[in-house]
Amino acid sequence: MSESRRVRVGLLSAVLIGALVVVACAAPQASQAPVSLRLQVSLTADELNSFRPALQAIDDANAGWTVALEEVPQGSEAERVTTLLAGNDMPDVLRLQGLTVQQWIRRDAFVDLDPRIASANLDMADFYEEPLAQYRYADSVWGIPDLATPEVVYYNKQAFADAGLDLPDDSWTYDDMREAAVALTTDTQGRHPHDPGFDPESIERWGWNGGITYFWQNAFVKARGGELCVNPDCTEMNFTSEANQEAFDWWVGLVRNDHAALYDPYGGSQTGVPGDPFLAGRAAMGSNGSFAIGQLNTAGTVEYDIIPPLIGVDGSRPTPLSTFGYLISATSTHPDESWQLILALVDAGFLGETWGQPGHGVPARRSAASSVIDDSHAPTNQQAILTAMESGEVFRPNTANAFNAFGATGDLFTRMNTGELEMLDALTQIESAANDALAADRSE
Amino acid sequence: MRTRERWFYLLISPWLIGLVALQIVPLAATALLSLTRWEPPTAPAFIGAANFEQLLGDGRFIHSLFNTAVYGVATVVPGLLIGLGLAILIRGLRRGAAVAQATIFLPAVVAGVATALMWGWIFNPRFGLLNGLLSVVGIDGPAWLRDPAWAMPAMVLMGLWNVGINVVIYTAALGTVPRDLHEAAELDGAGRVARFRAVTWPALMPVTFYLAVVNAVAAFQVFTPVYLLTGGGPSDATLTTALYTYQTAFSAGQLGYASAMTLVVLALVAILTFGQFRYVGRRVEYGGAG
Amino acid sequence: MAAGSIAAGAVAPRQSGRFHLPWRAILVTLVVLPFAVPFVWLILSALKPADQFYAFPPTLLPNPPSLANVDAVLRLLETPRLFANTLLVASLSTVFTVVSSAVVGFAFATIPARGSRLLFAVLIGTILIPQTALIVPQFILFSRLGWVGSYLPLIVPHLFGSAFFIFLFRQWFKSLPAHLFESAELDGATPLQAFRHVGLPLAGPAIAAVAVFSFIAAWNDFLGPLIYLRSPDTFTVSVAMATLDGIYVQNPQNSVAMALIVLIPPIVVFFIAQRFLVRGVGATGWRG
Repeated sequence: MSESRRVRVGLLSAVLIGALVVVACAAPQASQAPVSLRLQVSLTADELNSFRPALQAIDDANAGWTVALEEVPQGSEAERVTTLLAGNDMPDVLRLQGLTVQQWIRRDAFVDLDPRIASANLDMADFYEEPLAQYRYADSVWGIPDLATPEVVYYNKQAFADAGLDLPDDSWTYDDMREAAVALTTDTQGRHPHDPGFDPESIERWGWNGGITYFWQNAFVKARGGELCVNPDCTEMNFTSEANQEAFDWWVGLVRNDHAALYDPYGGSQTGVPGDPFLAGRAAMGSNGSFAIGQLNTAGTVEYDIIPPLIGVDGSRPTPLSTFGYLISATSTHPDESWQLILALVDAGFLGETWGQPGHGVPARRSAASSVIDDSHAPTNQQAILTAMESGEVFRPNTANAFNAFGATGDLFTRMNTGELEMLDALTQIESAANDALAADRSE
Repeated sequence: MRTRERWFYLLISPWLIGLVALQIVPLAATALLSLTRWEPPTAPAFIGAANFEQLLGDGRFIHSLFNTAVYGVATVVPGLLIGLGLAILIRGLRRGAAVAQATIFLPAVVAGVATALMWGWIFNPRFGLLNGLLSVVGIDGPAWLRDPAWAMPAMVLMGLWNVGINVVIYTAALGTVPRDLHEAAELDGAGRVARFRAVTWPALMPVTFYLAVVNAVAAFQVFTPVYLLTGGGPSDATLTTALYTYQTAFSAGQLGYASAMTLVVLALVAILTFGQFRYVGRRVEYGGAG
Repeated sequence: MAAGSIAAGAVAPRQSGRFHLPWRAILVTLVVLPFAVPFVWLILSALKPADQFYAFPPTLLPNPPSLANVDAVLRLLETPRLFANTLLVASLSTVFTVVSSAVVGFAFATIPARGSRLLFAVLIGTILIPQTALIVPQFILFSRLGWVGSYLPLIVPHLFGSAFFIFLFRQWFKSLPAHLFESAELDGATPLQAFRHVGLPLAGPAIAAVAVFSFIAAWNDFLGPLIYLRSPDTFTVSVAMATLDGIYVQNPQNSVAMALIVLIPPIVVFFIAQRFLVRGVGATGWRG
């Protein structure tokens, strides 16, 4: 290699390295203030736009620390957190979906918050118990929920007018729903399910949207007097008790005998648009998260209202509820400041002012939850959301292998609903597949 | 010669550095981790071959291999046929060949998250284009991505939409078929089909082999569309091996078990590729470095 | 075979078949349409106001076309900043990939050396490694270097070339007459000089093909930015697009509008480079 060539190669490398340094410095990184807290959230773009100014205000009001905001798209938290844990590079504070946190809590990834809750006099009774329950383990609280989303019952006013039925109200039970669903279901010739000549293959409008499609809909089993969880964390499950068989029989019957429910095996839960049969006016009623109000109002395709979760056989209103909350990483070097940040983020005033718009979750504190009520937009009966918050229950099981159990049983639920598998046979197989998958979590 | 060898190693040194730092070391780490149970933040614990034993009895893993094979066969073989067919069709055009080729090539080049989202909406059973078109001819379309029977066909359809690279490569290869052979065969009175079989097809064997290998490897690693559109569902109908490995690592946080899966998958791909070289490759004299 | 004639073969079909009846044009149009229709549908859907977007059965044309969805995503996401971020990452990645892959590919194609066959087999072998499997070990590496949160983990690996693009360059340089480089070296040029003064000027289409593919791959990359970028201000378009929907909240009219916006740069790049791209890709296939 000649001398000049060497110089030139050297220069080229220097330029490249220089360019890299410039890029590295240009990329915003954690500020070097005395205490810099890393806060990781998984908010939608819409939520983030509400959250960032509010967080900035908290940041400005506290001279002791600054917050570096880190974001990860919802649904991708698991890959981010797993790599962070593997690389020992966790942020100080994480806002995570309740369904995913138990596996990491059980592996000691987070700080036990009980002593801090006690010394801060945080009013835990103000938090709805079920969202909080998703952050409990071994008699301690490991995370503080900020938002939750319960399911409520949506109904299409035009569909009820077409069928000449009274509109649903807060007193409706599952049996009321079933009776109406049959009357609301019509085929292309205008016939109802029990009319002669009714054609289930050409249904124009279904009375109800959905059936039981996976075990996280335990609330709907409970509403019929069943219970899938055998132990508190639901790592042991039962599908075949008499009460559970009756509950499944009721729901499968609604789909297969009455033809009154659209069985959409993955009705938006894994793919596509939640509630779109309702959005398209093809389903007269359905249970869906309160966030769907945002989408329904934007689309403006149906005139609708809501009622609280339907009343089950024991008089309660079980309904599925999802939640998000804040946790402190066990590796945080600033747990005190992290806790101060969490206190500010779950403050009732902060929750009420920052959240509570259509499409957002509901504050997980009773004193802030009513901020979701806003008479300026549909639906009318928004109190139903607060009723649902009181009775909603979070998804169980939520341990490390819950997703494996979900994967191992999904197909069996589908084949039971379509009639390909006889019901008891399907339930027996679901039970054994779920318990096999959850076995590792039981021993922990 | 010594100087030139030194030049060779100097010039490939960037690749060698990357090879060691970003492929070999991580792969070696993966091999070590496959012998452990590692669920961060818990430290890895050596468990011998237990992960591989578990893998043998993992029905979802076997199922994911089956799905991947179905996807591979359903995209690679038709992809080659369609690619060749379109290339022949386009070459025969007097005008508009460039436009036609560009139109076919575009999807393959720009495919990513945005096109996957676009397809998600096309497949929407109620508001999507596909069922809208089907209803025009009186067909009540399936729920596609939400129907266990139709989700995989939907993925295959998306895969075939990217056939443009095959078309471009076949078009170029057709241009290299020796013209004099064609003319000689024509003089011998061979028809179009006979000339294709006697002259064109043998000349296309190397490129067909190349495409088969590249497409098969790509099909075996299919990830983005299933990750974005179905998450492997419904009922695991689109659970490919790449996705199952990914979910095991990240949804379940079982990095040791996922490492074992990776090694098995890598071994299978290597065997598949080696097999292609062994049984097809030598017939077409497609060698390595010259 | 000279590069010129390969290129001509790829681009301008000279062969005139026996049939020039319109049926062939019609057939081609029918066959080609499915490749274009999804894009057309994307544009039409993005321009539909919400009530038409959710019309059932679906309508074809937006009536009247509306920019409401596009406006909505431009309000939700800071699109100019996202474009600038993605452009920075994609441009640097492209430059690095092209330079490093071309040099390595040139060496494999033109310099006989002991071990080169074996190394070439290793190179091809790395194409078989599922890259998602290496996420965790690579993350630990970049985390130890303190690079997570910056663009370095997304850009630096491109300095080391990419196996497939090295392969593509090797194929290209092998298709050039070997005596070109031999005579350059007889004139006293080093292999690096032969690369710069003889190889590179003849590698236009291969450079274009690799540049376009690596640019669009970086533009579309999802997993890399997902794992390595932290502040939403640093996000690239793919990751930002994923924040439009939540697990429970979905607004496909926004996603469809954003998909259209995000696709514009790759489509523009494609049409600018299309002719070279076709020649560069076409050259990869048949040379052993």
